[in-house]
Parts: sequence; structure tokens; C-alpha cells
Amino acid sequence: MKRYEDQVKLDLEINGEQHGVYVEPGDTLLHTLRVKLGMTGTKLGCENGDCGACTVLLDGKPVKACYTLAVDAEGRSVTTIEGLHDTTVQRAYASEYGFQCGYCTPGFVVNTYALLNEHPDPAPETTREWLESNLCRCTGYETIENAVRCAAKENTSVKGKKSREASEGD
Amino acid sequence: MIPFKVTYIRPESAQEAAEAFREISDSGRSPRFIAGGTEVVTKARDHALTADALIDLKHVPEARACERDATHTWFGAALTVNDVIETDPCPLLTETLRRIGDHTVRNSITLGGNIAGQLPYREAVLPFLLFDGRVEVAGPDGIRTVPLAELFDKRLRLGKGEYALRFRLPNAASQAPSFYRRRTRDSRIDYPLMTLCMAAFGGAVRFAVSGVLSYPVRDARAEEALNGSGQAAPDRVAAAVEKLPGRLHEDMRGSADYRRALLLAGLLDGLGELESKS
Amino acid sequence: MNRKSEVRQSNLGRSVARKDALDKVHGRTRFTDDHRLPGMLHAVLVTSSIAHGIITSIDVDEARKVPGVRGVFTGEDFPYLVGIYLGDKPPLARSRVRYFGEPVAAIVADDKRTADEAAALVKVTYDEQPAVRSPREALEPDAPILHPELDSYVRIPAILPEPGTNIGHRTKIRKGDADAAFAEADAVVEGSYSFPPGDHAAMEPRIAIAEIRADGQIVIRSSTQSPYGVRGIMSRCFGIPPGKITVAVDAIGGGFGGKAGVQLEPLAYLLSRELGGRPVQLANSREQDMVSSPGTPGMQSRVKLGARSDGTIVAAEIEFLYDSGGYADYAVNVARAGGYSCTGPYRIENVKADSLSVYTNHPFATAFRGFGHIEMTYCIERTMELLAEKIAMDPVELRRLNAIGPGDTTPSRNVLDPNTGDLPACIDKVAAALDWDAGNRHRVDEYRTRAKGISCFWKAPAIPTFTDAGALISFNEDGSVNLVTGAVEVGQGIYTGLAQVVAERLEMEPDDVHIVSEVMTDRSTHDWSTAASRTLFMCGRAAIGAVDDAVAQIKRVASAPLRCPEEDLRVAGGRVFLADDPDHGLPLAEVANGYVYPDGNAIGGPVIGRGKYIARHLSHLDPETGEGRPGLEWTIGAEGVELEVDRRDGSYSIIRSVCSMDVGKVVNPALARGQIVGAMGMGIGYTTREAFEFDSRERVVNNKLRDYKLLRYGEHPQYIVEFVETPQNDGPFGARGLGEQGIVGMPGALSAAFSRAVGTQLMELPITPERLWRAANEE
Repeated sequence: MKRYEDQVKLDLEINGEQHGVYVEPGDTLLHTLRVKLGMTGTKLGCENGDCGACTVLLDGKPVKACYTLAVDAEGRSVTTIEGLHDTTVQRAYASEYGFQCGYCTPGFVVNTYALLNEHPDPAPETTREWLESNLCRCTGYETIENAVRCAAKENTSVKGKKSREASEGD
Repeated sequence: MIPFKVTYIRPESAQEAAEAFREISDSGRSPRFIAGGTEVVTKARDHALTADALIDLKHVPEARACERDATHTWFGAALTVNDVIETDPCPLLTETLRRIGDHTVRNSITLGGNIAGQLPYREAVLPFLLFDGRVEVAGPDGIRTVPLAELFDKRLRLGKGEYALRFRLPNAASQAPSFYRRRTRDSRIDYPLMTLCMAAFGGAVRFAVSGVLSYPVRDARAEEALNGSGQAAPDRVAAAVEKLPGRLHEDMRGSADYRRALLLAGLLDGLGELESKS
Repeated sequence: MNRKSEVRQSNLGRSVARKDALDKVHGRTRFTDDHRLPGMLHAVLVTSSIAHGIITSIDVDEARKVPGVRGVFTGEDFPYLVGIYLGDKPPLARSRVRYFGEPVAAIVADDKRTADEAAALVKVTYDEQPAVRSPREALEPDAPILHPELDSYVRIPAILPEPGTNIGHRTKIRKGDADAAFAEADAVVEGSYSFPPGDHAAMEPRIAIAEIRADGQIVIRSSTQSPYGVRGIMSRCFGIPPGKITVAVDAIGGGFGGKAGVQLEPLAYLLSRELGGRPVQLANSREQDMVSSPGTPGMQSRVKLGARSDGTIVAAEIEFLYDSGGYADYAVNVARAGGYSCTGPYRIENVKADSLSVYTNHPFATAFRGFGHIEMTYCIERTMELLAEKIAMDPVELRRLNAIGPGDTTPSRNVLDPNTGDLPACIDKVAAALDWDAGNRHRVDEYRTRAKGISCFWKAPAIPTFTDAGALISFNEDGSVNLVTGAVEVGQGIYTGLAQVVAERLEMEPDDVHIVSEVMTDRSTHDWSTAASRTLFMCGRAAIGAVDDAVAQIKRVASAPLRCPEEDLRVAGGRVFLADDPDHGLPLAEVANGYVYPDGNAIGGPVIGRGKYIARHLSHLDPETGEGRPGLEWTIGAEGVELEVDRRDGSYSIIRSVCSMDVGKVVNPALARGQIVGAMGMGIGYTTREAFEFDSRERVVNNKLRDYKLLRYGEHPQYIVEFVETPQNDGPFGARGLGEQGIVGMPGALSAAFSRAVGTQLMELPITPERLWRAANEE
């Protein structure tokens, strides 16, 4: 039975790297990422689980870092926006103007990334179910919808091409 | 961020959890069970909740498992709502769970947290009430299993140091014709004005509802009225709503009148659908 | 760099990729909270738990004892009054609190958690007073006077408070003879409307970091739309020379007016000053951002229109009561904007209007997208629907008939010039997109009804008469360009738009125009504010001026090695060359930072292009008649929606939302569409759900995003945007402002459609399913 009374050193796996960090047992993952580790890509929007600006992945699944305790990330793999480089999803958000002020964008991108990993070509209702977890105040969601569609299209065409190549090889 | 000093304890068995609770309270401090954190962490930030120690139930093996035998399925209370959905439980439970919080939150919020937390809606309990579910409670005196209806009166009535370990549904629930409707003030991501679960089960139409009263309810007299013979459906529905124990809720999300209208329409549609199926 | 000078595609009308795209999608853009300074302290506010009362005691002893707390301050520590137009607000409440959520104390500690912990230990007691719950209540003879000292407040001349009352400002419009025209009108309709205040809810809560260097230089980093505004107001309120204040802002996470003017900066400065100049970060929690910092104004209003039987509107009598809440902030000027635009884009010869900003015990109100025009338009467009109903005229036809155009006069009696947009064209495009002529209401089944609604809109920026912008251009060794302005990137994509303007003027590629993307008041160029949809217009004009200035310098230098008169030269495609013999020329790389002859001699030196702009012909409004020229340019358009309502429970879906706007010239279609679509989405939220809910003591009960609902993904309709391009000839390449306008017609269009669907005129916002259900079922 683990018990953390005071400051505790956690070994967290973040974006594939090990990070040793001292936290209080009541520190959220959001605070730990932003303040303790300087990973400021994850944004603070409401600290109440409502807006999704702080969305990160725990073992590949999106969670909101504002209500997730840092101690809960122990032994799990954390993915933040800093862990995504030039992904299909990011290219699509950029090319489709799927952002304006950019504050909600890391949360949307991370959530979309997880969505497309699980559902490479999501039905509109699936996209809605996932992305209604995040608030965007600028876009009216049209270009975000376009970005998801664009990324899914690229995903499936790349996968289709790969599988075609594979079958040609047989 | 929890703006006060707190101890975090991660028991790895049901017994350890109960012992941790007892030890903290024996030392004059206040322990609190936590699982997903969606409620505890946010309310603590608001100074709306305090605790000296948080006992995390997510690593208690029974609370993380889903076990199905020939007649029943047990769902661990510390499974996240999305975990439970992935086990492909009965359709009514799936539908109900898929509207709790939002998709991201459902990766954290747990079945037990939704049912035993402080928020009054506790929508996940509705299918368990409807299908005569049972709850397994762990605590200082070990583990006991009781019909949920016995323990649930507006909220889960747990003794000091007790917590819900698992919830059980009969597998037959999957075959029961069911009806689900949820209405909110406007946005889909919101607390319900009405979450209505109905099923034709055990030879009658049953219903359980949250949001309409200030607590979830399944009521025998209301169901009796709903199933009353010789009356037209609208009259039976009106009589059922009349029989609900307690005043209709009224708050910034909606008036009592509106909630009544939603419930009347919901029950009528549900009744029509279920009676046509059976 | 690109040297193509032959066939060049215009940079205008092209969806050029955003300059900020890659940083933003990688989470690399640095917002204010992402800046962490060494030794930075954190401030947390203690806010009022009541809406109105006298502070009887503040006990901070326990808070002070918390280890790590470096200071605890209350209103008595800071005897200042701050305000953008009317200095009526202490940084922390002194003796009286005027709204729920008003800051009463500030804790400064080593970290935020400590400050939070200490803030919870501050005990404030109040003698609670009855709250003023609406503008009408505030104007009752026996209403409590919320600002007895109104007379003594410092103000700018354009703002006209009425001491001894709760009126912070009144704009009067007296045009023609409304009384006589009403007497002769064939039809008169009148409506009263109301809606509560709400919040901007930008995703980034407001935040400021202040420090004072050893030499006295005050450096403030803030999420502000108005870095020069902050500097100016702080200089005025605290008597600090402006050169001793530097305000810095990189990107901000949405503003929508809520980060214009002055926000947390003065208090952050005062806290730093008390702590020896150490950096102090003052960041709003979401809850504080919603109620403690200013939000959007509520309104109560009355509109009367008189028309001839053919539908020609002959008279209007209007009363707008903007709910300014506890303090004036921008609301006084919002009321002024609502006054000078009071008729909407309709030709009305006789107008009598009073537009007031009224103090209440609500959270105070500031600029919000649409700036007075959204509230005004809602009331006018509702009344247009009443008129159409009364005279049994098609609502689209009624609007087309009365549409304002060149040669007509505004309420403040400006004659609209040929730069005025084409409203009939916009109306036609919206009607066509909605298939209006196929019918505007039909029953889908027993319960569901589909309905359409339309609204016109106009907006002119409510800016000072001397609103300005500057720009500086310099060149890199490869001939590419750097542009410095004072424009803040709030999400609108201004840096991309400006790069296109500069590239167009220099006939080069936007990729070769680098934008200095952080505004610092000591090294950027003076700029009024990134607000009022004027940034592309004014900074664009300044940038064009800077290009022209640079081009003249380039030609002067190049004329020597090219051995020709300057006037024979042309600059394009990264080269300077003979206009009549393009092969004879030099790359800018060899000229823009000085030309070096083969023998080593050099001439020229770095070219620095300077550009500026100041608003033209603007004048103050006459206090008695409203006559004057307040608006630089009017952006005009129409919007419409189609929706479906289920009468049984009032649930609805918005099927499509259309906007046609005369934007003068589309510089970047994707950016322009993004602004309009975003504004339409926000307008749907504004109309259907965004409003504060108050308890019986006027405390806001929905100060969280859990309870204050914004539009979410999947709730958005199909958006249709149709541009009309009647050039704004004094704008950059004919462009005019478009950032806010897409929200302005939404409440009117949605209300019209909802009203049509339920069969009764809805006179209040927000329009919730429950309201629709009630309206549909009341007999």
C-alpha cells in the first residue's frame, strides 16, 4: 500500500521520457506539467473539468489534467502536446485553419489524436462524442470539423496505400 | 489543485482500503475515498470539500474488474465509465453511461464515483435500480452484498468507512426492451433536467428517473400507476408522475413545470414504445 | 528568396497559411501564463460574497500567518480610482462593494497554492444593502445611488454622466421630428425587450504579471488587447510618465472585447510596488474571470417604429438601457455606440433616441464583440418583425425597402458616402441561401416546425476621433521584410493579413514578410487598441505607408548604381528595376541595407520604412442632438437562420446559419470566413444560453463553465458565408472591418425564426428550450 504524506518524488513517463519530479500528493497533473516541469503547452482554462484545454493522454486515453492527480500518472504513460511533432492531426489543424487564438488548440489536437488512433475514420457522431469534451470560443467549430475530416482522410489514405502495398508484395 | 495539505493512500486490496480508512479516522483525521478525482479534486479547489487523506480505490482489484457468470455480471466500482461501456453491458446501461459528463471525463469518472459521489444526479444508478441490481459493499466489517434498492434511498446509504466495491446486474437485462431519454437545459454536456430509464422487465414496465426530483428515484407506487389496467396511457403516465415521492425539482436549469412536462412526454413515449414491443 | 517578378499571383483574395499555425498546433505559442519570471510571486483575490453592501470589517490576521504569504492587501491600501473613460473603480473595493465577485482583498505569496490557502482564511463582514437588480430599477426615484461621488470622477469629455442618478452616460439622438412623424404614420408598433448580462468566456482567463525594475521601469506582461491603452490609463491614474511603463503582450487566448482597456494590470502593478518591485502574477480563476472581471452588458429597452402602409419606416423612438453593472468601464461608450447606430441599417428620417449606461449591482460590463450594436440590433430587428407582422408584409421585403445606402443619413446625421456597403445585395444573398421564397415556416410533423428568420446589421467602430496606428518596415540581408506594428494577435490572424497587405504592396510573397509578433510598448509602434475590428484597416493603412516610404528610400539608393532618375524605378518581386526595362535592376538584398560598389564604396544604409494612420473626419457627438461623425466606416450585412423546434419540449436544432457581409475586399478568404463563422457560432450561444443567472440577492449562480453554457462541438449548424465587395476606398486595398460583425445579426435572426416556429413573438433572451416550450404551449 503506497502512502504519500508530504512531498514525494514521482518518476513519470511523459512523452516517452522519464521525468523525476517532486510533487505534493494534492498536486494535479496540470500543475505538475506546467509549473514543475515547464511543459506549458497544456493549458489551464477552468480547473473544473469543463473546457478541455488541459487534455492529455494517459495510456493513450484523453483525460483532463486539471482534475487528475499527479500521483495517478505514476506507472502510466503520459502524452502531452509536447509529445506530438508534425503529426497528421497537427498538419490538418494548421492547413484547415482549425484554430484561431490557439489556447484551446493543444487540448483539441491531443483529443483528436487519440480519437483517430482509436477510430481512424470516425463517423461524425463519434467525432462529436469525443470533441464535445472541449470548448473552443473562436472558431464556431467549422474548421475543427474540417481538420478532423482532413486528418482522417489522410490517415485512411496512407493506411490504404500501405495495405495495398503490402498486398502487392504478397 | 487541492489547496490544502493532504495524504494520498493507495491500497491494493479491499481490506487495505478499509484499514486505511479506520487508521486515519482513529487518529482524529478525516479520510475520504477517491477514484476518478473529477469531483473530489475540483470541489477541493473550490473549498467545497476537505479531507486529510484521500484513499484511492482504483488499485483495489475487485473494484477494477468486470465478472460475468451465467446469470449475472459484476461491475467493479472503480472501473471508469468508459471501461464499463467497453464491456458492452446491457443497452440501457450503455446508453445511460454514454451521457454522463463528456467523453474525456468518462475516462476518469468511475461507476462508483458517479453513484456514490456528492452530485445529486447519479444517473448510473438508474439501470441498477431498474433491473433489481445488487451492490457489494466493503468496509470495516468485511464485505456484504445487498439489493441496491435496500441501500439506495436518494443516495447510497453507506456506513462509516464503507465503500461500494462492485455493482451487479442480471444478464437478462440485456434482453429486456428498454427506453432511454435524457433532456438538458440546452447543451448536451450538462446535468439532466430529466434522465429517464424504462424497461419492460419482470412482467411490467419499470422506470427510474433522475433530475426530475432532486435525487434519482424508482418508486413502486409510481410504477403500479404506470402499469394500471383499464386506463388510457396518458392517464396512467399522469398518475405515475403524481405518485412520485417528493416535490419536482426547480433550479437555474429548469422549472418544476418544465420537468413535469418532460417526464410526462418521456413516459408516454417510453410506454408506447415498450408496450408495442411486448 | 523568391525572385519571380514576371507573372505574380495577387496576394489578395488568397487563403495564405497562417503565420502562427505551427506554433499553435504544437502548443508552442507563449501565452502570458507561460512566462515564468525568476522570483515571481503569485496573487490571489478574495472577492465579495454579496452584490451590494458596506464592508464592516476585513480580518486578514490568519491569512498573514500562513507561511509563504508575502503580503495581504485591502482597498484602504490603494486609494486610487481607475477607469478607461470614467475613473470610478478602486482596484480593491473600498468601504462599499457593488457587485458579487468584486475583489476586496489580495493575497500575495510564493506560490499560488499558498495564496489560495490564505485567501480562504480572510474573513470579510458586510452590512448588506438591497441590490439594484436592473437598469429600470436603478432609474426609480427611490433607487439607491450606487456612485454618490459620480460628479467627482475623472472622465473624458465624450462621456456624460448624470450625477445624483445611476446614469453613467446618456447619448441623445434627435433627428427630424419623430413626434410629428408618428402622428402621421399608418402603423405604429412598439416592443420592450430585456436580457441579462453575461460573459465573454475567452478560453484564456485574464492574467497580468507586473514587476518594477531597480531603475523604476515598470514592466507589465498581460493578456491585453490594448497594450498602449494599459500604458496610457496607468500613466494617467497613477501619475507615472508613460516612458516608465512598458507593456508587453505576445499572443492572447481570445479577447472578444473582454481584454480591451485596462484589466488586472493596475492591481498587479500596485501589488508589485508594495513588494519591492518583485514580479507578481495576478491570474483570474475561471470563476473570477466570469464575474470579478467585466463581462457583457445586459439590457432593457423599448423601441417604437412608425411606418406608412407601404412599409416605409418614417419614425423611431428608442430607449436603450445598457446594464453597466457596478462600474462604468467600457459600458458608457457601449451605450454611446448603441445610440449613434440606434436605428440599425435602415433609412429613418425622424429619430428620437436615448441610449443610457446605467449602474446596477450586477457584475460590471465592458466591450464585447459587436460593442453595443449586438444589443441594439436585437431590439431593432425584433421590432422590424413586429412591424412586418402588423402590416402583413414579408420581413425580407420590409428590410429591403428600408435598407440604408449611399446618400442616406445615419442617426447622427452623417451622409453615407459611396464607400457604404450594399445592403440589398446582402439581403438577397441571405434570402437566396435560405430559399426564403419557398416559405419561412412549415410543419414537419405533429410536433415539429421548421422556421426561418432574417436580420440586417451594421456596425461602425466606437473609437476615439484620433484613433491611430503605426508601422515600421526593415529589411533582412536577403531582402525579406520585417514588419513592426502595435497589433495584438487575438486569434483573428492579423499577422497573416498584414503580411499579405505588405506583400501585395511590395509585389512579393507573404512568406518573405516576417512579422514581429510580440507587442512591447517601448519598441512597437503606437496603436490605439486591437479592438473595434479596425486593426486590418488601420495597421494595414500604416503598413502600406511604411512600404511606400521604404520603396522611396530604396529607389533613392538604387538610382545611383542603376544610373537613372528615381521615378523610373519600380520595386517588385524582391528587386528594384527600371519600369520600362525590368532586366536592368538589382535585388533588394543588395540595396535595402546599403549598396556596395565593386570597389568597396558604400551608400545608403538600412532602409527603415515608416507608416502611420489616424482616423479621418471623426467628431464628437452633440450632447443634445447626437449630431456628429462617430463612425469611420460602416460594415453592413444580413444574416439568416433556419431551425426546427419541437413544441412538446422546446428542443430545437439550428440547421443552417447564413451571413452575407459587405467587407469591401476579402484579403484572406479563410481568415475572413473564420471570423464570420466564429462570430455566428458565438451569436448562437449568446442568443440561446449565455446569460448570468442571479439568485434573490443578485449573486451570480452560474459562474462556472459547468453552468454557464457555451456552444459545443456538434451543436454548430451548417454555416454559409457570402461576401459582397463594395470597396472601402480609404481602406487597405478596399478592405473594411469584419471581425465582430458576424455576431451582430444573430440574436435578431434567431429570435425571428424561433418566434415564427412557436407562433408568438419572443421578447427576451436567452431563448432556452424551456422558454420555447412555454411560448409554444401558452394559449
